[in-house]
Amino acid sequence: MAQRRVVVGSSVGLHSRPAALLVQAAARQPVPISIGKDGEEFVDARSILSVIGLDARGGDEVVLRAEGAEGSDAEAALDELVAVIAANHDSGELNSA
Amino acid sequence: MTTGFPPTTPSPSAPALITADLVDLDLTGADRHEATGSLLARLVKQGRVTDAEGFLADVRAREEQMPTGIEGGIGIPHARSEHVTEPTLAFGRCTAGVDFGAADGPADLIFLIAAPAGGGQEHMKVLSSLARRLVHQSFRDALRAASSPDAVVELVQKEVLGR
Repeated sequence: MAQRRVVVGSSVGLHSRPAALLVQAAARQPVPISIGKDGEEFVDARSILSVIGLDARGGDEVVLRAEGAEGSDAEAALDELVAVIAANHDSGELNSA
Repeated sequence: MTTGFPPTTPSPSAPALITADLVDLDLTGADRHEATGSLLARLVKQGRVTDAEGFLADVRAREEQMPTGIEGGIGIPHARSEHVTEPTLAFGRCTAGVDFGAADGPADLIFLIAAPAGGGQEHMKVLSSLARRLVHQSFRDALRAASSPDAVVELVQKEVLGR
């Protein structure tokens, strides 16, 4: 099973807009991707409730897994989601002073 | 923006996050703004929000970044705002449903989260804990079946706040 580790780039964490962007990107992928922290339960990256429930903060490391999938589709999907998580989306965060 | 705002360190005397006065089991509203406004009136009455219009503007700014309607019939309008005096969670049950922008249909379980401007990350923690419980059908069903505001307060305190 293909997987990646990535540090959350937005200081707000995987909440609000960064969480919504991740869920949207995950829903576009041809393979199901799960997300979790080390030692915790992995959840469906396409579910906004599940992603918010992770409470991943900026600077936290999370793990992405292509569930039961290998090959170029899985690798490309993981690469795309890694980019979304690693990016700093804070410019749109008007409310997080 | 946060200047002059005292740090909100939790203390034993701090008001509860959610009380029976902040629960409406017969919430109505033609759209999400009306439904949110109706719940908000309870926060204003309790002195937890000082400026309803100002707070609603902050909620709308938040909604522009991320729809607050969530799969499973849930709406979670929320904002951190200078018009909030105490971290607050309010709950409304709207049997008819209100469109909060979720792809799978209207919301009948609505949580309004209000956090003071200087309140740090505490409201994110509340949002996360709430989301973790709402993933479970059993928790959603218990909210739909709750017979009184007190029952909702008890359920949320036990399941979400771990009290």
